Amino acid sequence: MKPIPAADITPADDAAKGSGTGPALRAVAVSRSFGGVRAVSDVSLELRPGEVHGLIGPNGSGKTTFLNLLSGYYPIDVGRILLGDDDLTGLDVQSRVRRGVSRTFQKPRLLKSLSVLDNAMLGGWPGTRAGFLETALALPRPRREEREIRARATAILEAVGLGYALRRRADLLEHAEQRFLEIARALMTRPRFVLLDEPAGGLTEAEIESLGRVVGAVAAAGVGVLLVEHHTDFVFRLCDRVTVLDTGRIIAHGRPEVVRAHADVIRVYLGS
Amino acid sequence: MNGRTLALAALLAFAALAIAFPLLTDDRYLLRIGSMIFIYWTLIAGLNLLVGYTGLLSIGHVGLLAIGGYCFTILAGRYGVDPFLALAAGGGLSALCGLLLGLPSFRLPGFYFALATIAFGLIVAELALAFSDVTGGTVGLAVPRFPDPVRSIAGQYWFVLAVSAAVTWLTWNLSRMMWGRSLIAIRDSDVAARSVAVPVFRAKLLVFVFSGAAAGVAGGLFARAQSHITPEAFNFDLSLYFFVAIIIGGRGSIVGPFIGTVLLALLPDLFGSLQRYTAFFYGAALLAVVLTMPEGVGALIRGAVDRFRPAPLGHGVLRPDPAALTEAIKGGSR
Repeated sequence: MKPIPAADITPADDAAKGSGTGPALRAVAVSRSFGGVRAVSDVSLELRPGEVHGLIGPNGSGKTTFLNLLSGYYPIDVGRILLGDDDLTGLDVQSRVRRGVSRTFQKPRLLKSLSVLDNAMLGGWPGTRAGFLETALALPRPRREEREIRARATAILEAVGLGYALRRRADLLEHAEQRFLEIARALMTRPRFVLLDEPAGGLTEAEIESLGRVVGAVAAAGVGVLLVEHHTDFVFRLCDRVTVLDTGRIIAHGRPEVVRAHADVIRVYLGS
Repeated sequence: MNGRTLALAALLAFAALAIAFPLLTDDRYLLRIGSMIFIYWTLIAGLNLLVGYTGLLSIGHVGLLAIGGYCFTILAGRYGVDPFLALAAGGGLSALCGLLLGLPSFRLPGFYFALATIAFGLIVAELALAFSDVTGGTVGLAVPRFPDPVRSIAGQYWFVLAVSAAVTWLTWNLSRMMWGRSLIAIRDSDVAARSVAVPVFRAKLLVFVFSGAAAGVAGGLFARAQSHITPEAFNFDLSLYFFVAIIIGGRGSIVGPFIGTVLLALLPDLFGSLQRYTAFFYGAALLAVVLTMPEGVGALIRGAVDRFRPAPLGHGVLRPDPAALTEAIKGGSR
């Protein structure tokens, strides 16, 4: 199987469709090895504002590793991560979040002893300016920020459908609720791009339907979405573009209907 | 009456009682116990931000107490510095040492870091013995008094009460706003904290500095309450006491550790002649709490308050509103 040359990454037919404007998030020829194993090999990919981009592939194909490279949890061996002209390659996770790259996790990482509202509000951190001492003294700025973040978190939680659980402790939530809360927290960081790591995992059909509406609304707000998923039907239905990984390499890339019919994709998913 | 007004009423009642205490009794012994509780609480309130909120297990804060105590005593006693200034200087020096104490936490995982802090506490005590020309060694130092309004036993009590109330207020502000959430994120999930851009390194250092300052000020007040200090006064049992008070109180609570502080302070006195078994009582109390209410006294109180404003039960249906969501995200987007 030959990796698709970088020049083909942006086929002429896929004109920007999303409502977003602003810089794209690009991975350029990114590789990463663990020990002797190349988990991600020469992967290039471009996320555009307002677009939903699916990243699929069999178990161990490097999807989650790639997400960790994009968000900065792992350093990359070779290649670059760019946000417009801004080079993110050497930046830590926090700096990338501040520049607008946010994410969720395969296993939701919530603060179990805090309420749903508090968990979502935590995502408001990058927007705060109030320092430690300012907060200790309860000066006007931290109190104003607190009010603003509370209002925004409430609005986002109600819109994702968690309005009935604002005061509930996060560890009392059902699985789908935890996933939606984590998406709400990611959105609270005012991202340009959100990277969702298997958000449909463990969800019922009805919940996946709701998730689809949430992702659609996020894209409609001009935020680019990377959907790392196992659930291929969901991805093909929802995404503007799809990239398929196998053993760390891109084997297909493009519009969903094209990728779905791609011989290598069929072989990888159905067996040769 | 809902939970919040109930809590406020309880707080006001307690504050009134604490302020009126010297008017209700002129028993010097009782006043002294009251003072000691609020001195310990000054340190524990700061330490609570570190242990209970940020999840950094320091068992070495007695070292910071000693540094603050000696700084106050030497500056005010030997060099005649104004006692209030000396008290602040003790806080400053301990804040700096708190920073040093905190540095290993960035390399050592939880348990090993806790061991390193024990070493810190022991080293400070040894240094106090070794530099006997500065600290008076085993002979110790006499601690100067505060000037007049704070000179009397009652005056001292009120001053200590005010200082501890101020520190409590600062920690309460930190805990209830965005900093509090970010500290809890560091405690519960480093990965989640980073995913929302919490500056983990800086936040930890700031909390160490804060808890160091509180411990230093407490040290000055502690020294004064002792009126004469030797390295013995800052023995390791104290550090254990601070730590256990917070664990008994429960993580992520302020009221809980305060109750833990009061209970543990009174425990040895209740048993009078058994005072030398103090460490045993701390251990027994810790065991009892860990076995019967692992989330501490604070969780019990929170549970009681929540009964006055129960969270709605049952699970709703996740029904997103896409249009509203798009609007909410855009609300002030970049």
